[in-house]
Amino acid sequence: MTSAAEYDATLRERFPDLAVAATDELDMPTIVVPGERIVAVLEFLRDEFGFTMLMDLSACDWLGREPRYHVNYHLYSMDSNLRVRVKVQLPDVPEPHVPSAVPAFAAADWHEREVFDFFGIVFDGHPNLARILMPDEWIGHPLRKDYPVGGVPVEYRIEPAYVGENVVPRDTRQGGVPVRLRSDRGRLSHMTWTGPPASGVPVHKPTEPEEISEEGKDS
Amino acid sequence: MTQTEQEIREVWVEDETMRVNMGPQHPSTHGVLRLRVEVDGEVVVNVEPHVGYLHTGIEKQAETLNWIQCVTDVTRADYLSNFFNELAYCTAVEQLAGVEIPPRAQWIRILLCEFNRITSHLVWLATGGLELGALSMATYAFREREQILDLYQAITGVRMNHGYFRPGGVSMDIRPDHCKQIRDLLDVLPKRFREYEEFLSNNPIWVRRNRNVGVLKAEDAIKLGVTGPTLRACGIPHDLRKVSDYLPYDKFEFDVPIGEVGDCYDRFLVRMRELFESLRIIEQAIDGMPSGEFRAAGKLVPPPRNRLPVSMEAVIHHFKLYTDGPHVPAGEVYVAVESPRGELGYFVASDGRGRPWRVHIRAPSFVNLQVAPLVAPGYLLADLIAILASIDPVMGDVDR
Repeated sequence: MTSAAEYDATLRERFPDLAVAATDELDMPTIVVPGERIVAVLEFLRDEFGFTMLMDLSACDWLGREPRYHVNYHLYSMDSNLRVRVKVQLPDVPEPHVPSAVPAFAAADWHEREVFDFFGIVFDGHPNLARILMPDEWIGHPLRKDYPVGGVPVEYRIEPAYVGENVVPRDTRQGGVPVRLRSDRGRLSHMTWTGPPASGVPVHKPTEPEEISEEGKDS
Repeated sequence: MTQTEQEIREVWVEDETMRVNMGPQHPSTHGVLRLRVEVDGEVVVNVEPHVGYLHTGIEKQAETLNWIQCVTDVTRADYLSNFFNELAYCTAVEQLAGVEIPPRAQWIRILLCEFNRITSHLVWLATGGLELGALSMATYAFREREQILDLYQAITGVRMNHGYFRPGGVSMDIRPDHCKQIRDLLDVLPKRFREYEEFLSNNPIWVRRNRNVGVLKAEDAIKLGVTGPTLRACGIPHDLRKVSDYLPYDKFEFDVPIGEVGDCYDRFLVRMRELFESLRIIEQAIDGMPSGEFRAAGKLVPPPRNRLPVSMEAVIHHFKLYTDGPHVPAGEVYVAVESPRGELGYFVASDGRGRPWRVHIRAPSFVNLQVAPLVAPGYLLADLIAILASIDPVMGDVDR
């Protein structure tokens, strides 16, 4: 059982109501399965063909194509040293749903959490579908193609007293990063730097304590 | 004692299990791994790994770099086995582009990968020893690792994060003086490794800390997708070098060491023997190193330096390659290689342009770490350290 035609024939026989399509790809046969019956297909492949290991579960965002999200299950059979890719294609909706593969393969647990974390694909029936690599309170799903690179606000602040009267409003064009953060090298390095500040940076003047709290509000 | 006090005692003190946070800044959690451990006295009831503290967005970053630059990005994922990351990525790109690399490049890749397996296992030996109280192991193992890192520096220019394997071959050829350096190492290393094996494998403290601790059954390992030495310690002789053809390992003679029980001690023995098997492969690789080109011809690799002053076409090729990147045909490919921790898989998708559309890393540490909640309950809290050390997760690999 190596070629895609055989998977195709067997799966069509077993799941006559399912639109299954298997093709030989560059590296391994690829079976495209509708999402709702993925667990049954995975269990069938595991029991009939001996694909006992779920090696990898990942997703790919083909923004601009329809269906947009591809979830790839890479199965491996240790006995026959064969691999097969099962692919579920999901439409371009804010929260695509696919049944969790954990009942068929325990290994899917963390992989599905990772895909949820990075792509926002919800695996129904997963025992603990929480973010795994990004912080829990993170907004957005970073590996989606419409998530920008470098669009994350800088998470540190300068001492309000140190900014002095030089607080600049946020520049929205820069993805929410305050402009002053880009030009205050000289001030940030006040612990070690004893020379003149970087060009354009006014020399720091100590401010009164009550003024500090005033400026702390809008910085 | 009042009624309420007694109730409190019964509910909160007598049956209480305690939740302990191990990490993320803990010397024995192998980097920034945080474990939420539920303990009943000294006995572990439940372990919940929390990962992601070292997440650096390597997969996202890869989408912004061109196919050649990407090597320097993915090599940072598992920072202890850089060559394997480069190997898996480059093999995937070569498969997409339909490029066959010349034998010399294959041999150089095998040579460096096996050295990398040794350095990676040496770090495991050093830190594992450190965590279980064999402190001198850390100094010894790092000493040998330093020597091999010096070799990397001579060959690739840097000690870690090399960017040396490129799609289509390697970036520079190895020279005769490198071969001499390797032979000098081959004289020293087996002796040292035997010393370490004697030092630990019959050490009563080491044996008692590791024997019958963290026993992983073979069927559980398969269910969880565990690979590498952790799987082989369960008695399953699965090694991608034997069954896969990403590099011509079939021309080399080596054994796949396996364990019997699947406990920490077996994992220790398997890795220890793999050190010797890797040395065997290196010896054969250096003896049978073929001559010839170290990278394939074609659009994936830069033109030879001496063509640049004389050929306009070579200049254009060079310029296009380093600005736009090589254009790799559209497609998806999954390539798996046997890294020191197990199956390292790269799923690479191309849309036919100069940058990868998607690079997904199937990290062996990420998958193997799922074993900890399964095997640790029932053992002592101190054994959890031994279990973690024997799984050998690298957090750069887990979090990517």
